[in-house]
Amino acid sequence: MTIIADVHSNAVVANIQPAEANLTVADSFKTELNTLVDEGYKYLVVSFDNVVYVDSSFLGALVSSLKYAISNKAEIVLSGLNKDIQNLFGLIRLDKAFKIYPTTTAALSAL
Amino acid sequence: MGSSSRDFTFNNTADALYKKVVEITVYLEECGVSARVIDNIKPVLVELLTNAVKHSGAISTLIKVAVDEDNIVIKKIDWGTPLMLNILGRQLLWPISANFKKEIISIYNDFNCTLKAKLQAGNRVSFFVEDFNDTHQMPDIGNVTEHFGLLIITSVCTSFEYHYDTAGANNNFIATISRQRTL
Repeated sequence: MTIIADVHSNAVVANIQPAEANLTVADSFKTELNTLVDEGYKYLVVSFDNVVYVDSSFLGALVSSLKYAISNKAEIVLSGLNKDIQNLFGLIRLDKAFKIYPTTTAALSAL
Repeated sequence: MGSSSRDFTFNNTADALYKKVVEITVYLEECGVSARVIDNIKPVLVELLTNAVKHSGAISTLIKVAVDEDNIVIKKIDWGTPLMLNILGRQLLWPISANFKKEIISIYNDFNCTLKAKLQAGNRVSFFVEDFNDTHQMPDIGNVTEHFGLLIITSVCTSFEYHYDTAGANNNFIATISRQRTL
């Protein structure tokens, strides 16, 4: 299991489990996140609290899920990115495609 | 300081990927490379090694790291599958046909940039990024690429090249990062 879902009253937090969010878990991450969209959640917080680094395969899966969520009128936001991951999002401008919050609490409060 | 270099061997497995990144960054620290520049280099290393795992088909990859006062040069060498690029829907074959030499091709583009490759003599390809805009608006998500590997490396590096060595039948990715560049 790549994510553990923590259900709140009006949102779900998808906690990424592997420290290395890379090509080995990208497909399962996308499948599991899309399943949460299929289950009807409209506000999904993807928590990177446990993640040390991400690679391009994982980023591709994340963007693919964002497209799927938007097509289903759902929203995916991110939280808990470490400095390296935050810098990477800025480098390739993905910080414009996602709302990014410092903590899961902040992401839930923004809803 | 003078120049320094070291070779690293990577076994092309995902399990060993991040350990190799850490091993190389420790070497860069020993060479006196600043933490800021090492932070920039980490995603380059991740993507070069990820490329090896996903695409090379070889059992191992040689990573040659050279550091001097101005630059860090990272060469990734393997004896696996040559880089696959498409031109007008057709796969580029190595050695490059004379018809394509010095041509510039778009690899992919999205809301904020175009990743391009310039084909050059000697079976070389140099990558560069064009058309970054600084809009603060949220993009049309349908126009966001899902392919980031080459884009990440090219965005960090002062130059990024691929060279197919026909005599040795090996693939050479050459990433050069300025020690002065601020991202």
